[in-house]
Amino acid sequence: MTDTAIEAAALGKRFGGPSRRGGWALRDCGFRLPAGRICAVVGPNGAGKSTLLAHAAGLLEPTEGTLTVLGSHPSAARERIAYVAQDKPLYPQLTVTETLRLGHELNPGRWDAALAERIVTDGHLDPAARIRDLSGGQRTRVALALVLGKRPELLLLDEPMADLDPLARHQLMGTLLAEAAEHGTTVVMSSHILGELAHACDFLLLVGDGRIRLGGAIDDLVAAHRLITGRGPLTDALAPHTVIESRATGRGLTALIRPAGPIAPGWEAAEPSLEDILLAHLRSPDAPALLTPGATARSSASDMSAAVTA
Amino acid sequence: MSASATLRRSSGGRLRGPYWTTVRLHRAILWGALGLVIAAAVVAVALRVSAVVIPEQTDCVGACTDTFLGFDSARAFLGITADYAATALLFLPFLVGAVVAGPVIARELESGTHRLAWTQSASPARWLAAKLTVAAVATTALVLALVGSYQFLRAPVAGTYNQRWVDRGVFEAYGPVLIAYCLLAVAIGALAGLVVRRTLPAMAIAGVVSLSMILAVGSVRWDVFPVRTITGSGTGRMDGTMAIGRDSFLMQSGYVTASGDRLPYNACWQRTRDFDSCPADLNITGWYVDFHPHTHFWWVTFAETAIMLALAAAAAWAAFRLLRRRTV
Repeated sequence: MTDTAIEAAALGKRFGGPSRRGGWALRDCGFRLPAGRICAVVGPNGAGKSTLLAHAAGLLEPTEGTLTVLGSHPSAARERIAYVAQDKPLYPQLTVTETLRLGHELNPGRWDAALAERIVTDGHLDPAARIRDLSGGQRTRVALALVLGKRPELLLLDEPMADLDPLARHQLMGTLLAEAAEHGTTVVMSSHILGELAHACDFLLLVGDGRIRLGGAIDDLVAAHRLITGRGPLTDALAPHTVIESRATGRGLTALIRPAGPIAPGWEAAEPSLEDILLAHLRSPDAPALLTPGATARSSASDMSAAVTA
Repeated sequence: MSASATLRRSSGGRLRGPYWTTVRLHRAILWGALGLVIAAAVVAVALRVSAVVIPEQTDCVGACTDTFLGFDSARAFLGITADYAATALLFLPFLVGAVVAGPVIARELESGTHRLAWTQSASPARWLAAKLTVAAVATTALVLALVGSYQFLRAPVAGTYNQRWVDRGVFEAYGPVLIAYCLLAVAIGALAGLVVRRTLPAMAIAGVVSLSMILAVGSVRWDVFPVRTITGSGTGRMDGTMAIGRDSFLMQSGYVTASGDRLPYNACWQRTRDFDSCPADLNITGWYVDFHPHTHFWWVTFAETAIMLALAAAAAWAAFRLLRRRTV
């Protein structure tokens, strides 16, 4: 058992072959996700969130760099990973019951039929209904039943709650988090809606332009930033700190900084909300990346290649 | 209950794992294949029974009136049906290749369900292996059943014109050769589905490639396989063509000159308008007949089956390689 759920080093993925210029969905992407975390992967559309999750699910081969999952190559960890793609792929011709049977047949020895059936029953789904006749939200529920029934150590969910109404979202998220807490499952959820996952998660990866721009435990990330407000000469007050974003407000100037020393007197410092931090980074694409020590890839390149060949 | 006990208890001869999944997902196709088998058997039995129950007219004065569905007789209709059936069987590789490439493989990649299938405990390689195995078993059963119906249908007309063992369609429909082509179509379909990843183009490509294999090889089959030759002195070429027996397949016959050259069968006819009556200036010393004796049926069947199965194995190997590269 490893204490690392996902570790990426210099991960890069280019679509369309080397002849096409650009086309990098991920580039120089490195981070470490400790096991047992509930991790939000956020970022604008097209940032590379889905590509990152597909790599962790063993569906894509990196163009460059490496990615290990649960201490091994993704293909070797297939039994311990569960993945729901963004469009919730399910076989339309199967019934709900047959879809769960498929989960049982393809995951022998791991399948928790009672749990999967409970998730479906909670949604008042007709077990004999065909997948093609279900609504988007009902399909999401079946897809989640399928992955939770597998009892994974790492659960990868790409935009999981987008199709759900608020009530179902709350209820399913509750089930998900309860299962994760009970079994120590690491959960990775992507979303482009910042607020959607903030309350459920304790770890954050902000993806932008194919790279990790922020990575770490949410508490650590919040503690690393300060929202300062005040009047006066801008440069003096902010000089030693890393300024993510500054803008004029009614009272003078507000800036989100990563403090690198005491804050100049006369400036009011407050703890920013997670949303403040995320929005400031999204508005300032050139802000330097920040990975907390716990979120930094530890393995050397040779260790990673050993894991790949193993 | 332990996991293995659960497995044993619920297996009980039933399909398991990816095999259950594959059969369930493609149930409609398998029912369709069964329907085809039943339809072919019904037609074969109906025609055989008709040919017995409705006798041919033999004592007509002048032309006989049509007696069976607009045909001379039930037996004549049976013969025509057998001819068409032999041709139709040549299109089975098209059907098999298209179905495997499209609905079985490419549709998963096109609709995205492969991302569900490939992230289960059962690996993508097992996903492909199950698809190939189910397709191969179903295809073999389908071809055997259709070939069985066909042989039952053609029994009364076997060996007649268009129904000899060398004839296109008839040769393949003895069994092994057609099965090998259809298994090749399964592998071509899997490869095309993985390469093209879109249902309709994959079906078209796999179908056409599979069909062109059986049609192209059928066109050169008897030319490529070495012939047996008999020769004799004099100009008794016609005797030679008779001597090879009714069961042999005459490829070519003609004359041999003093210098050892071969002249075509009509070299003398063109000059004398009389078969095997040859002018002296041609210097004909003998004749030759190139033919395939019936024993060549077995050699060609064996060779062609082996080559197509080897090609099928190569295509299946390529499909696994491609899948492996695609999925880490």
